[in-house]
Amino acid sequence: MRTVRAELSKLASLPAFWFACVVGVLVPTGIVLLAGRAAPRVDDGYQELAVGVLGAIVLGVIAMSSEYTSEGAESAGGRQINTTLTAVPTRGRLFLAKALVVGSTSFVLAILATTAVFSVLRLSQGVGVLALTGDDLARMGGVIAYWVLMSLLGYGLTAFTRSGIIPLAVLLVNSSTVSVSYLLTKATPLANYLPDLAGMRMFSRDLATDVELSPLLGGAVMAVWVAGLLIVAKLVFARRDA
Amino acid sequence: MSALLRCGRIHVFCRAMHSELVKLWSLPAFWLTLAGTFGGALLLTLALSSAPPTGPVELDKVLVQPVAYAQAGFVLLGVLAACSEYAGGQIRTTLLAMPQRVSQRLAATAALLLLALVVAALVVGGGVLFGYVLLAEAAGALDAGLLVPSALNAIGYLAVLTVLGAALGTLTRRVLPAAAALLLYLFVLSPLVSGQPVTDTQPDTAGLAPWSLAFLVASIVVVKHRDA
Repeated sequence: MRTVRAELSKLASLPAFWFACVVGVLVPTGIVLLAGRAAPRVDDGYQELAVGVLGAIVLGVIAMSSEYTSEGAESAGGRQINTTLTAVPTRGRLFLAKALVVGSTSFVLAILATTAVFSVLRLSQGVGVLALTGDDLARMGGVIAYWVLMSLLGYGLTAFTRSGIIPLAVLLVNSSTVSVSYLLTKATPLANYLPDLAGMRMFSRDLATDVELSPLLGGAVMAVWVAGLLIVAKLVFARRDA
Repeated sequence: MSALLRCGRIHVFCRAMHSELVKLWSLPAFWLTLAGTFGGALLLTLALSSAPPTGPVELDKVLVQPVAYAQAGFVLLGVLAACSEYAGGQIRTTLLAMPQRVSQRLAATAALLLLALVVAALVVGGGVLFGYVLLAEAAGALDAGLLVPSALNAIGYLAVLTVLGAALGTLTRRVLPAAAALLLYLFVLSPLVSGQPVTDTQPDTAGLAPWSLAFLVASIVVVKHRDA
């Protein structure tokens, strides 16, 4: 528990963490505000949140990459990870604590973003903010789960690369308006089982692809990807020279 | 005498540019980014071209869409090239060898621009050729009068974008903020403001060049006046 608290305080003290929070809430809300729409569509709000997931991705990536940023030759090329491992030598525990912090902060961020997006959307459409059906709630739960899993995906990938730049570039470009995974579905139906696209089934009802996965199955596929990645990343993190 | 002096200056600049080229060439990150961008662009062309052909080869599939994603690779190229100076103490050695900071930045930019042009030509040319091979069954070839200007425009755009990345990298001296800012702008904010997806946006060299130039000038002014 003390490890979790330490990791939380480290994460919250990064300027990039607050940047990620601002991006996560403002980008999807901004899209909703800017996009003048003629008729309500089935994926209104969810589509915007699928772009706003960038905030969660940045959060997951920097939680790990900040450990490996060199402080420069003046401090003997020192990196945060040296201090971290001195304080918490059990690497498995450290990795889990970090994952817990990443997952829970992105969970909170996702709730904030979802609330903001749907409040703005429903106010602009003149619908009651609180008029939620069971399906709405399930889809919102889906989008929140998607954010949490995407941030853990970024976290796990960064544990491999030890630098945020590749995971960030790959995940950022892939979350742009037309995702690479979606383009790949045109080459092979197997691309529907890539984590991001499978995870989108949890909330999107408007994905025009050949293979249809149910929301639960889509979420399960994504969760398996993320769990597998985290297990391998944890092994690498524990075995490798820091 | 002044002609001789000018000759000497050009000589110094050429040597500085040569050493900047050597430095970029020896950067593992440069080769990794190059390989990733090239491989990624070919993979995208493969994905886009795999739908059965319905008409003539489409410019979108072989050029515009792969280039839209390849932007990310060129942003990284520029940012990494600039920030490699600051990752260790490289910048001190560089300034020791070339104390005129403005000339040093100009030489580095010229070297980067040259390499970026070559890499962009490889990526764009490779993508178009590969697309043609894949779409050999298509009903008709693309009009060369349309393809060549678009390809040249895309190459110029990617090279200018690399310079913009390097300017931002020089300003921040850190890879992650510079790369994240530019990628967020290109892939999220810009499509959002213009209202069309990044894959439908034609590369616009003439529109980007003034911005690159402005950031380049700003970065040179900052480098000239700040502690290295």
